[in-house]
Amino acid sequence: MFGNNARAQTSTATRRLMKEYRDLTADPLQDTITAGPVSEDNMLEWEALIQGPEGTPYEGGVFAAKLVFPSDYPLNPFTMTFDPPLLHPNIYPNGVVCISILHPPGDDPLHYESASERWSPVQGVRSVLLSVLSMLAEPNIESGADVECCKLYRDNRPEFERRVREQVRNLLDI
Amino acid sequence: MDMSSHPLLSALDEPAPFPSQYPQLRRLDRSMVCQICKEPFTGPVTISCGHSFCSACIRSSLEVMKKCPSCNETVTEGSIRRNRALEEMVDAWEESRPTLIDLAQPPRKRPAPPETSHSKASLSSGVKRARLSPTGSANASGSASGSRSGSPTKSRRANDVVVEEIDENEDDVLELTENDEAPCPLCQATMPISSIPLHIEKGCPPPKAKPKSNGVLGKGNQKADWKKVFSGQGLGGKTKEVEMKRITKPNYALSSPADLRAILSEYSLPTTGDKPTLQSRLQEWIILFNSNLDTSHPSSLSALRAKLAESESSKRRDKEKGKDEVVNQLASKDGLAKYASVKKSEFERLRREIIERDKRRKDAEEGKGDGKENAIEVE
Repeated sequence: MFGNNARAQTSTATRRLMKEYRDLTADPLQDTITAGPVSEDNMLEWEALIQGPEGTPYEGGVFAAKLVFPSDYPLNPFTMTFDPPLLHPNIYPNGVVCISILHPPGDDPLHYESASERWSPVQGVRSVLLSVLSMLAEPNIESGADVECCKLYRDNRPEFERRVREQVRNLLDI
Repeated sequence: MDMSSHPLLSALDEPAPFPSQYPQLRRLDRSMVCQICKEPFTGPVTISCGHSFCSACIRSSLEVMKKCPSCNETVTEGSIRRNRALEEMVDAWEESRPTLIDLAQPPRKRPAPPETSHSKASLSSGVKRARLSPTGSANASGSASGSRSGSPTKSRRANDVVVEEIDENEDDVLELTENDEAPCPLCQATMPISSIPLHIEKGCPPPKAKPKSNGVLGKGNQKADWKKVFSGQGLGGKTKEVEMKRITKPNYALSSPADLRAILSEYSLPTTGDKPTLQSRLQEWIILFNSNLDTSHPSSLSALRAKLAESESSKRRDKEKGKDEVVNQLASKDGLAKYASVKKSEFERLRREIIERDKRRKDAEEGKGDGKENAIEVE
């Protein structure tokens, strides 16, 4: 009924991502985040730029991340990878973000995640990026990804903050 | 920046959004949208927790997890119920949306309001209106239109003329048949007389939409009638092989590829590929087929088959483009472990680098002096 032609040429995932991109550009997520597809012919790969939230060690930094979507999106979540990797308790040393909203549906081995925090098809790029912003401000060391960093964050906060600031400065210098 | 011209979005045949000064209309617009596909509901259904989605959307979501995508409540496919009221609402909303968008435009952009065009063309339109109405009320409508325009003398004159013309053209009135065309008294769009009442009742949708249903009235109806007959026959004929009844899902774990092929051929679907391919094809077909039973605008079986083929090929294209494997790997706990073991050397290298960097930094701090510079240069 609605645009059957366009729908026929593109997969559900691509179409849904187009919608999300349209909504993000029409109604931007604050000034601190921008996101969009890397190339025109592949909607399944996006790049996001995130400004470090104010009042955190990440303040002043601009971090690039790659979003890779599965072909059955939105049934399954996408992955988000900071490139270059970011020092954070919930980010793997290779840059992959470990956050409950990006965990695939089905398994919740630790049973600590509440409904609103899990991935479901009603979530999207917008809600995930907002979660990542709050993750930057408040690391969750109970489900850490980078164990060394978790320890550092727990035991020696000033050193953690110093290293993050240093990394931010490095990023800006490059 | 004007994103509507972006090449990526040009493929999206999006209806224009409501202007931002009407948040309530935007909200209404959003409420007609399925939260999974973000498009207006197609064959809306409600599940046990009360949330509604497109039939196809929630069916495919339940394949992945047996929970409501909105509230995470446990849901079974058996609780899916067709929501006819919502479907009616979405249909009505889609129909009236263009009109509302039009009305929501700033006044100067709107097409000239009927009053002004009316007084300008009071003579001619007066006649036409008089012709349209039954002879008895012609006089009344003529004077009504006259009194609305300009000064009393003018209206008197217009009135006289109208009445005269009606008298002269009395034969005309009788000769008009319902297939003759006439302008709508409100929006001046030309259309067959018989369709004017319905057109006005619908709030004068723009004439662009009209030709579709009324372009050639007789023919259009004929076509629709024949279609009905054909599809009815088609369904009747097909019931021998394909029952228009919900398909029950087979137990995929226990089915052999031959079992799956048998079901697929029952619905005249391709039976090529290995078991996972057959399974995903059948799963998708069951979703398409079952959700097609949840709408009052069902597609034909051949259209459904085309949709299935198209979705299969578009998914394949996406798979080639995307990095599905990596995504899938990272998505599961085991996959993540595997990925980690593969990349272990790299992790190890990075870790060593960090430790070394820390050490060097400590040395630098102890040495102070140009230590700071040194620390920044590492990486």
